[in-house]
Amino acid sequence: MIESKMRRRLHVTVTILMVTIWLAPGLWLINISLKTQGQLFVREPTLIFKPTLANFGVAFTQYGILSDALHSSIIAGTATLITLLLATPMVYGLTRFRFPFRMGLLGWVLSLRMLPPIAIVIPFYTLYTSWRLNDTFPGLIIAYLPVIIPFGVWLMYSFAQDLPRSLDEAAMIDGSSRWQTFYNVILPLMRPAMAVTAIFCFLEIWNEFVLALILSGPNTKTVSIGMSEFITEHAVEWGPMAAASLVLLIPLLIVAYFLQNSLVRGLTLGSVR
Amino acid sequence: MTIRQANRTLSNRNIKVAVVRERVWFWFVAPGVLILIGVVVVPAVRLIVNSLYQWNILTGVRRFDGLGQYETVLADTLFIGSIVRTLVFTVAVVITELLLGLLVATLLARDFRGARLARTAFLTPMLMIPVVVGLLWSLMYQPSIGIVNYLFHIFGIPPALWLSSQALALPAIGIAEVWQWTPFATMVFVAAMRGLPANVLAAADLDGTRRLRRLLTIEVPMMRKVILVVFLLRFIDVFKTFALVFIMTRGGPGHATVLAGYYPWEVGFSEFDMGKASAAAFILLNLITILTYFLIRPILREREA
Repeated sequence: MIESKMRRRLHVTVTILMVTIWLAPGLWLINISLKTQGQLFVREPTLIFKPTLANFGVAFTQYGILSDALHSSIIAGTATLITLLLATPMVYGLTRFRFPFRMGLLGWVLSLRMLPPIAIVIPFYTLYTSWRLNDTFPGLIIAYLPVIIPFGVWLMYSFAQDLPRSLDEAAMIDGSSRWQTFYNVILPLMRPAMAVTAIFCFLEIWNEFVLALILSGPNTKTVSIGMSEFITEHAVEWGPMAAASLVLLIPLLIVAYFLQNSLVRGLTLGSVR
Repeated sequence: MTIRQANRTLSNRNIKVAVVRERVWFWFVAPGVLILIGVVVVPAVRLIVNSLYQWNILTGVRRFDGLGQYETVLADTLFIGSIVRTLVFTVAVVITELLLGLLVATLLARDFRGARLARTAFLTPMLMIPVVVGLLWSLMYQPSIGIVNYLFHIFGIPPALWLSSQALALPAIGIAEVWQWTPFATMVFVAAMRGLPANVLAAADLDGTRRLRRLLTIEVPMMRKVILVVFLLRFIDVFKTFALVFIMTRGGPGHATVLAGYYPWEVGFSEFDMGKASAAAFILLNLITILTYFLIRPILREREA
């Protein structure tokens, strides 16, 4: 009994130690965010130094990280909304009916997840040059749809699959049409899955780099691009970069804490629940 | 025909008979599919058209070239090299992520006070913007002031040039990728292990070596399917690696870190050769789609059965 208690304590210690070591580079980011460029560029990295909060100010005022966040939110928010509107009925259709080429269609939609972004961005760039859609919100939102709609279907498919069909049947025996069944019975049950999907579609676009690099510009600069702009001609502005990335990370951590399990289930097509 | 197959054909036939008259499926699926066709097919056609031209976007000179650009791309040892390099990189990175993910998951799957917090904390790298991960690791790899060489110095290991070394640059990028995404594998494996029957998990009280053997002989085989799914998901993403290369090395030194997802960018936006870039992107697109379509099918089929 005593031995098992000790072993448990050992287990916890090893676990905490391992997590801490793994996160060390991330913790190092906190250290960087509190240092001036001069304090950073020394041979022996220091843990004890006179911290400065100036970097956070620079990130907000000089680099306008909040306006980048606003741009990213507009693009990611709209694309996510469109995805939910289209993918939810699609997922219902794909799980509730048998029709010709159903598996083929599902396979096609899911395989779009493999599209290398570089192959999407090149034709969009050349199209947008003639349509004058480079550096516009509609342009970016449209360009994200081929990435994000399949991702939405991917995330929601297993949830819809696992809602028993007897629910549909019961509603239809009571006289509901297919649409009423979908709207009144299935949709409310899908709401948690839709919330998770929304968050992950949003995140996917928030973090995306290639499309934004080529299709966005000063008017639509996203967070990813804003981050890359801390690399200036002369040096990388390490302190402000670290400060900005930490500020952007906090809301994501809070979301992750609450949604871990649903996230796993969606991403693995329901192989784990 | 096995009994299982026979049952399956039988039940499929029954379902077909039961719902054959419902046509409403079309209206559920059509809007999404139509929009998807629009945003996929239009650019795809444009990509193919682009690839048939010799087209420099800087000078604007554009001349029909038939399949000439494909010949140029396929004759380019850098392109072929980038694909081989990417395959090796992807397999190495993903397998490392799976192994580390399994090991960490055995630690995090158990319940203890603060377990949930520890699990969430471990996810942090995965939530970071890839650009930031690239920058962070670039700083750590920096030869004179980077913390990696400093730690090497403490342990008496000679310093390395990391990102400016032909041999080490790609592994260095791989390490950053492994650092960011091992938590994903861990998170899925933790969920899978916690779903295993209780008597399997109870074995966690065993000591080190017995614990490891138990992991390999009992838990890993039971999680075979989950491991396959994680392999597939990570394979797809790592194969497309762009941001880390762009931020950390821009394909250098020399061409040591030009990966398949980066090659078309370099050709199109730094050499301005859009025809060749399009041809390369089209080849890449087909390669990935074919490769992964066949990898997904068994997973889907198992879900359907």
